[in-house]
Amino acid sequence: MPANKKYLLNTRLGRTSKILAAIFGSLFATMSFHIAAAIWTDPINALSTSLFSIFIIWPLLMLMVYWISKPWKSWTILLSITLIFGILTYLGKM
Amino acid sequence: MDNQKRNYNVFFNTHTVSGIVISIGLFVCFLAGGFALFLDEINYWQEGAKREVYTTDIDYDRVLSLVEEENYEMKGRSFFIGLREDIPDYIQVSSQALTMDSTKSKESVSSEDSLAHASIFLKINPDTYHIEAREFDRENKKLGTFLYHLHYFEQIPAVGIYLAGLVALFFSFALFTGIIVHWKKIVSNFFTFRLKSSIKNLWTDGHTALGVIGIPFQLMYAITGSFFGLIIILYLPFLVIVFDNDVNKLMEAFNPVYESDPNELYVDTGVTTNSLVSKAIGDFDPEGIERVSAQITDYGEPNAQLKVTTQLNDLKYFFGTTHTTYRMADGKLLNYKPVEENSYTEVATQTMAKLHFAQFGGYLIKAVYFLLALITCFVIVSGVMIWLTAREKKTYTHKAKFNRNVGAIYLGSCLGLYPAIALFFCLVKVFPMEIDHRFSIMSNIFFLFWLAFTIYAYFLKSPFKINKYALISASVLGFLVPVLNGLQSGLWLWKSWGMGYIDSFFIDVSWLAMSIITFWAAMVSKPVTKKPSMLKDKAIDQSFKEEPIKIRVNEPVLAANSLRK
Repeated sequence: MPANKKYLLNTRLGRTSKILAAIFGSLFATMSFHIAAAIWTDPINALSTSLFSIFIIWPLLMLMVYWISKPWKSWTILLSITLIFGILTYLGKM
Repeated sequence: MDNQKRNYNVFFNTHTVSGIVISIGLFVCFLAGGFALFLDEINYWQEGAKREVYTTDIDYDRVLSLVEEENYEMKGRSFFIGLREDIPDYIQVSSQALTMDSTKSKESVSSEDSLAHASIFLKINPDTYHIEAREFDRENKKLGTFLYHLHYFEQIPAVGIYLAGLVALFFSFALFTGIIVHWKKIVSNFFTFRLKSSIKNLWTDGHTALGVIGIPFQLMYAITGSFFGLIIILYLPFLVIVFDNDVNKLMEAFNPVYESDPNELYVDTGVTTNSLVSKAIGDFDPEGIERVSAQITDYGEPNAQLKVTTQLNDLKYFFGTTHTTYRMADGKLLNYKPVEENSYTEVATQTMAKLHFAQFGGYLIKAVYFLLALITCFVIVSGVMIWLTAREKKTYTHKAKFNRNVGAIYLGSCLGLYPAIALFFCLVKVFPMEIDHRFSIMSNIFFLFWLAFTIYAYFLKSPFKINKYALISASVLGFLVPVLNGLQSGLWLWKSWGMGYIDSFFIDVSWLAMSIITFWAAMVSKPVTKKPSMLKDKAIDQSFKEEPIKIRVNEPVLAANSLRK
């Protein structure tokens, strides 16, 4: 019944990296997306949606981190999402 | 194909790990939260009090003059005035501290002055208009409220609610991974219940079938629970980046203020606050009103506004709030929000609160919620049991002792909560009233009992015994609840309904029923002596539906033990 070990990451570094990516990487990506959405659309309505959508998208991104086998790939995706929406936020604030 | 296998194994592993990590916390959330759905009922039961009919007539002008007599600086203040449901009900007046005139130097500010500008909290008796308290009493003395606090770990200083939020967040992660793992067989497994097969199959079938039934309910709680627990992480980024560090701008999103033109000409006609409030609620059927409150902004200024919020009965309306805003000087209607028109923000926040607290549909919905909460508790415990049973194989013998200990602690702390809650219900009725710090002593006894049961479970080891002792102690204590209530308050089960003490009757009957079901469950649960096929007991088959959490958490280890022999 327990999962077959051969499919799981066996290095400690890899596992730690995945956990960090799942919790913090996903949080950064989610937050940056919602903030950019609030800047470019109606801030109050966007905030109201974020109240629940953040807590749906965050765990879904966690899923993505575990779906992708290499931790560095997940980090690349999450950090580039954060970066893109960060730039969009910056442009929107100008 | 290999990729599919890999995904299955990875998600299976994350489902297991995230589930095990949050299991005890989640169990507490759902069991204590299930009881906390009946927070008001439990509080009224504890006090032996009758629920009063909610009164909408507060003399607002009298309340305001009472505040003025307290030597507070009134000009420019914003007030909240409303009746709070408590035992007995009271009128709450609250106001934030006024910002002091910045031209004055610190030395010239007298203590009298700073008192006049301080924040206000007054508790006023709605019958006599006496001020009963001048400070908000933070110390909780009610059992229902205690259980409500327990369900988000408020007893853990500072971080309790955030921990609960994280538990809810990982709960949604565990839900998503669970759905993925079971997706292929979600339909066929739903109709499978192998009672005659091995104990591990039984736990698995119970876990998946009841898990699938609970998905909508559990997903709702995972999302609303993370919202209530982790809302803080949204606050700072949104405040700094989106709202330019302006708190008022952010707050306006949730509590819009109607701006009136300061240059507009009007005559101060001296209308009373009372007449404005009764004008605002005049159109509604008084029996359909749940609660009324008044918010005053810039009191004493020419542009002072009165916002009357009327909450209508939640059996009729899902979003039953209306706001009516008047200018206080001449009573001009500035803004009116009808029941049917809700802003998106209001809909979003109110939906989450109403779903989370089951504030719609009355008792029936609360009962369904309670059953679903018990089902969720079963899903949590059965998940842990699958994990343990799967580790009762030969390949795990080097870890057998460790696994058994972990299992005993898990079961002890989960199942021990039920008798501990029953004990608390008994305690509030027998503990001497005159002792200082009565409630905190009682809550310490509650936590000690819970801890003691966990330690006892650790030494017992056998899941069958842990389960059986938890059930028997809970059923005995639960049976004592209505008896002790009758002895202490005289509101015996057979009298209280007729005398109109509905809450007392409801809690007593519920405990009696729970105690009987629990006792019966304890009696029918048997250790597995020979082989897992012994499980095809008819009684077990029925009891499974009745008592989702407590039944037969006992067999797996014993079954495995007997197999080893």
